[in-house]
Amino acid sequence: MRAALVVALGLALGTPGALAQREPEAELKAAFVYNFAAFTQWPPEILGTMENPLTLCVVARDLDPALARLAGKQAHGRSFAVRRVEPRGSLAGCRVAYWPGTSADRFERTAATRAGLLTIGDGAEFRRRGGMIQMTIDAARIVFDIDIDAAKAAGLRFSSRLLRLARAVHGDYDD
Amino acid sequence: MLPSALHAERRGTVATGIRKDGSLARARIAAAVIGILAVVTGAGALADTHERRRADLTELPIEALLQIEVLGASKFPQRITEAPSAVSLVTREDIQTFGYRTLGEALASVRGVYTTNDRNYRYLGIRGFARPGDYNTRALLLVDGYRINDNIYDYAPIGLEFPLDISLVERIEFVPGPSSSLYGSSAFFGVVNVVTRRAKDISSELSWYRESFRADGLRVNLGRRLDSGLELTLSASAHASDGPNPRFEEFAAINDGVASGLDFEHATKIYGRASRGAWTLSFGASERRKGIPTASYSTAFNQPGSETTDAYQFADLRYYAPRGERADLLLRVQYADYRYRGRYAYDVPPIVINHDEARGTFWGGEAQLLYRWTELHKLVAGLELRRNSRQEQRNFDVEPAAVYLDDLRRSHQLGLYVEDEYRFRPDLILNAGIRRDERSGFGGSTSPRLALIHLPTEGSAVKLLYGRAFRAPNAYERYYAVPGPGGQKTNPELSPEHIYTWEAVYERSSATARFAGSLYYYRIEHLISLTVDPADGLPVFRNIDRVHTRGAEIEAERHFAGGVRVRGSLALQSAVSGGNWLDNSPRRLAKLFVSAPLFGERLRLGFEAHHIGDRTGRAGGVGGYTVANLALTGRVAPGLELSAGIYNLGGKKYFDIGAPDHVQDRLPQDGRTARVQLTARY
Repeated sequence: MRAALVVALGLALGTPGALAQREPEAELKAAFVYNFAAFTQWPPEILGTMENPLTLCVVARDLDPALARLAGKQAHGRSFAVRRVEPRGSLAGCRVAYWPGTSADRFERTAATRAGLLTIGDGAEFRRRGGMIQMTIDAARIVFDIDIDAAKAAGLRFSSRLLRLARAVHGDYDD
Repeated sequence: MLPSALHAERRGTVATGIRKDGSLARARIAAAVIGILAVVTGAGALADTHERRRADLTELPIEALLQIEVLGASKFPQRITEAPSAVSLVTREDIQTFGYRTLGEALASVRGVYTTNDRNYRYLGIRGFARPGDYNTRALLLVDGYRINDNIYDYAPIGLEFPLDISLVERIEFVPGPSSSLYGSSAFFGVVNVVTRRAKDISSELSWYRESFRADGLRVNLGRRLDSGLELTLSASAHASDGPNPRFEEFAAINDGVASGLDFEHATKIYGRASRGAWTLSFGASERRKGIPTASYSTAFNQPGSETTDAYQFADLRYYAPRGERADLLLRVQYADYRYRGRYAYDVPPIVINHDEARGTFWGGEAQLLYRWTELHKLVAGLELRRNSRQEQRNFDVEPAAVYLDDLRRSHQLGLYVEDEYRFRPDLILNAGIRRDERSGFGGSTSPRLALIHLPTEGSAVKLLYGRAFRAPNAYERYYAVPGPGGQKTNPELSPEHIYTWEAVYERSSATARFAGSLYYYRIEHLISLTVDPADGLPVFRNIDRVHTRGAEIEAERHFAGGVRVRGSLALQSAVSGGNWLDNSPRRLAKLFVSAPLFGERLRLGFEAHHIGDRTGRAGGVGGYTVANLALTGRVAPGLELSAGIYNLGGKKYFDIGAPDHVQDRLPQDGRTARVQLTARY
């Protein structure tokens, strides 16, 4: 019996198992921002013609290269354009706005509620403050919470695939 | 739980042992399964090692992104570091990795906690306190925040009589020490909150298992999230086992001390939950029938007819939604019904079956508001009402007819609580709470709690905790009485027990390691104990004891490269009353857990070892022992998972201490047993 134990433990410790894939936070979050935009439905009149880019405004002091690399990616048949906006700066022309890290503290719902603007932010308070999609880290993984009411107020809808994967979905479902 | 002790019985003495009777065969089968599993999945490819490459994560589907870990982030949930207590978590992954079959087995992995088994019920020992004959009345058991303890015995069911199937558990949160300032009575030594899985995590699951002693189980879980936002969960499960034929040396004169066919256990459960937006409705029912092989309460040895049935029914409705930007409101209503039916076979002669029954029904409601004054200041205030519409205990014989007890009560309780969390510096939190309880017949009790939490660095915390809690005597302690010699009498003067606690906790976690340590001192006053009245020799409950419990616990966990995890804990505890050690209180508890993936991620191994130190009890008590369990889980085909577990790997012969209702001074526990389980998921 003891021998079996030793063998089992030796197997366990000796075998190189697969490493769980780990990526830097900024890269992962940029990929999520891209996916959130891809799974959001805008009213067609807001997006306009196919030439119009899907503008992502990053509200921060610095633009992380991972977010900058989203420029040119395709979603809804359009290309992403990525722009940096000063905290409290104008969000005119933005289709998606993202408040990364501590800039989420300065998110103000009244300034950010615009028809056709998808708001995404980091931290546990973003959704409560009126944001539409909030990203946090739980046990080393990214999880996101969605507020349907805030999205509806801006004329936006989310695909059911996205809603299924959210950790929590807040708001009224009646259509 | 308790019959009349009116009927006489004879006793015997000789050596103990347990006939394995098929459990050894099962263990061999499980070992063979483990071997085959290893070979089959070993034929699969080994995983590649890490190579840093600039991957374009936007090419991955979002489902895959959710599985990727953030480089440098801690795997350990950070929110519990700021909680005003030392919280231990047992996750669903732990339950699957180590093959826990019941809530009790999962709780036994928590530092400072141990369980004992008298082949009828299982008992929870927290910080050295688990007196033989107590019914887990000092631990509060919640499912998603709803109280499970019944209103007769305040019993916390941790075996197969627990109304929820283990496969529905997402995680178990254990908080040692009194949390009476939030929860009221019963949260004396600890609170166990079982959080259930979300519907979207379940999909469809069908599971079958086979265990030693001709045990079989089947369960079906269904979870659906509809586009309208409605989430539905449904579950049904059944378990049936014959059990071993244990041998007790005290009864060697009858059937060589072997109780045949009396350790059986049958359990069925159903559960459902529907939730949409802020509303959640959950409901369930369970019934467990257990044979009693120990001839407890002076019943006839090896005589069929002694058994207990515990049945739970519950329905809960909850509304939880934010109210503006600063507040969250919780409203809930709960219905619970508990039925106990005991049958005890006495050899008067002839054989007379005594019926011991109880039924407790209660309605509860709670309103709770969480209010954030500022970013630094949070307040929780709540009101809880409970109406015990039925607290009934009966004891009678049918043939010849005789009624010994027929007691029906109603009562109600009201609790008002407030808790304030003030972060007056980024690294310093003060948490103060107070609760006022009024119970019909008892007047009121006030339970304060204070916690100072210092967060010196990211991921570490030092906590100083003080609390005072109470436990009111339950309906059984107050009203259960059976007249005549060998009976028991009531004590309407019983007053609540009080506990004063002081604890210091240090916790630290980094990306790959976690450490926690506690030092505590508990003083319990007016402990309710079963004593004998010298005037008439009858057992009666009195507030008599003062108990001091002090202890130190440490726990460390580390995640290694390759997915190997190792965790260990040590608890040193001393529980003393009137200069004597408390019965059934081990001075040392040590645990070790190792889990590792084998052959890539296709197989997972879980190994655990528990050491329980010497315990005093009748006739000198029982010696310390170490027991180890081994479990292997693997995917054999898409959507099909096979797991095998061997419990008590070394076949150690160990014992638990006999309670006042047992002739036996010590009760032999099972030797090596095994389980094989097949689960289909789609």
